[in-house]
Amino acid sequence: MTLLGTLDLNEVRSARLGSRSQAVVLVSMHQQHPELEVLWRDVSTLAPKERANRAVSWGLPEAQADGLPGESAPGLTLYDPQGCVRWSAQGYQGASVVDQQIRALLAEQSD
Amino acid sequence: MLLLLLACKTAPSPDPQLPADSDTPVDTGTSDTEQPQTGVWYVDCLASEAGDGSEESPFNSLAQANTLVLEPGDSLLFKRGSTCLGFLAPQGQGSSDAMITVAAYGDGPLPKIDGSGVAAALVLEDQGGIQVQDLELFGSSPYGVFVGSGTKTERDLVLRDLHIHDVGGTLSTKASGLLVVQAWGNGRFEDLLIDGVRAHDTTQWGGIFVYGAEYGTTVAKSQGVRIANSTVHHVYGDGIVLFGVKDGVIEGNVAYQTGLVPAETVGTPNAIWTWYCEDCVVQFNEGYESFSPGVDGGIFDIDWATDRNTVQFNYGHDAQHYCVAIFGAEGQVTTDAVVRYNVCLNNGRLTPFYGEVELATWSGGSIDGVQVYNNTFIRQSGTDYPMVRDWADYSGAGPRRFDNNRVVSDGNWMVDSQGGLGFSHNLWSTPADQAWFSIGESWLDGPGAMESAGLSVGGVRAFDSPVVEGIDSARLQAGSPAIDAGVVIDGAPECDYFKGQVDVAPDIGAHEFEAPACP
Repeated sequence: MTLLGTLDLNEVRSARLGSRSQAVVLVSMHQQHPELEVLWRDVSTLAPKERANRAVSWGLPEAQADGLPGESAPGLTLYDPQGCVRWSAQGYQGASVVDQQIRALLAEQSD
Repeated sequence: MLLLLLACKTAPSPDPQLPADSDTPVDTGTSDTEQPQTGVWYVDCLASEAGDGSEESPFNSLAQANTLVLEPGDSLLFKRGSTCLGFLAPQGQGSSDAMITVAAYGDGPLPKIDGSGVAAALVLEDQGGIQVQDLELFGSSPYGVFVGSGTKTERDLVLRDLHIHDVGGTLSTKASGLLVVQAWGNGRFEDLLIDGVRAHDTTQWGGIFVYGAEYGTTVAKSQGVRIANSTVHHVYGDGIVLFGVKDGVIEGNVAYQTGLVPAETVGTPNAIWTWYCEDCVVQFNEGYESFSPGVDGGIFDIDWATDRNTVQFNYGHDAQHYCVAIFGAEGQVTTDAVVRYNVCLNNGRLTPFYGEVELATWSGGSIDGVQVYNNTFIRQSGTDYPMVRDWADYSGAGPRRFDNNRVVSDGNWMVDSQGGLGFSHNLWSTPADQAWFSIGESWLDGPGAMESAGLSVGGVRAFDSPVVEGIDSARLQAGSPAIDAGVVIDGAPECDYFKGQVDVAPDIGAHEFEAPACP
């Protein structure tokens, strides 16, 4: 299972419930579900070194994703172990929404 | 998986630069005085020689950096990948339109300040107009970061993207921990932002602890304090708190593994809460795995001496004790508390003698105005302790509402109330086909009990058996009796927890079934 977060690491700091908030949820899911692979990718136009700096500053897990088409940020996509999209959403998603999607898929996988 | 992993690797850069989105204009000019540069000062504690603070010859110690008196608009930059020993206490006053910036330059990991042996790795005292960001601070005790105001109002402070951890030592006071903001005497703050802080691992009390005004004095509360997008965990005491604040906001944060102190000494902690707070909002947060060696140990709490506090759109789960509490105490009246559109799941995890919702007063305190509506409370604990416990004394003419809530339990005891709280349009679900309600002097059980007591009206069944939705699901399913069964509440939000638009006939619980997305 993989949770992919699409983020804008160059988001204006005054934005509320945007990429910065979604990153916090992403890291929380990473913490709570060890069996879940959590990836993120940045859709801003930051240079690679600045992107790396920003990821460090935001406290994002190191794993980054590449090779997928662009989307708007923030966004989340949940993949099952076969790589199929099981859930996706655009805009900030609260922790309960994400957590329960993960729990449901984990329960399904364990059946 | 088709996803390609790319490790986030960095390399030192020969071209130090400010973050691209720095809010502060930077003067990169030089002068021929003893201080050769104005505007930007560089610190690299790995440099072999003490420089003049220029980019080419940076300071190499905190002692050098601390002797500078920074002017409005100045920047003090620490090299990424470096470690400084001691404490940082940048001097100077900025302003809202010319903030002093303390930040990082270069590439790589955050610059570190190892505060081993000192009281705080970062100290800002009686200063305003300053933003500190992109630093890792650790090792000090009893504070990781201390921001103080003791003489006057300090305005425009920003603490952003700080990583604060490993603050040890013996706990002796609540005003201690990873990030402590404290006012005393005539001190207070206006427009203080804490954003993107990661604070963890302390044997002191707090994760992010804001005490914005001394209680019991005539000094006005601090105003405009916002704590956002931050994570707190593994702390002995509270996770995130606002005390002594007006117009405070706690939003988009996560707190877990709070209250780890092994014995009760200076207090009983919660994950995220407010006290002596006026017009404060707690929203879009997640809290879980909160503990306490005594009472409390919950996630969210509107505590005593609060006025017009709102807890909304939060997710609380797996707490030792309650999901959300509303308290009145010490002769003070808690006014107009609102708890709405929260999702609470499996709290009362280790000591299930608390309700998911806890209302209580003591020592002459009371509650004047409480509205708990459109929340979803779900518990699977295998115990029969009430989901809602209302042991509060009420005063005044404010509403006393517990409406439109969806309460699901694998136990039977739903409510234990002294009778002051009004119940209407709630959906009580238990798979045991037997729900119990202790309200005032009445003990009610069995189908229809709530309707017969006039406690549940509008055609909503007192409880629904078998449970229509999965017991772990906060979302409604087709056919749920919760759909369109709520009462319209003045001032209710237009959106549910899941960002669906609430229609003219609101559903019961935090989810509006098949609702169009909110704009």
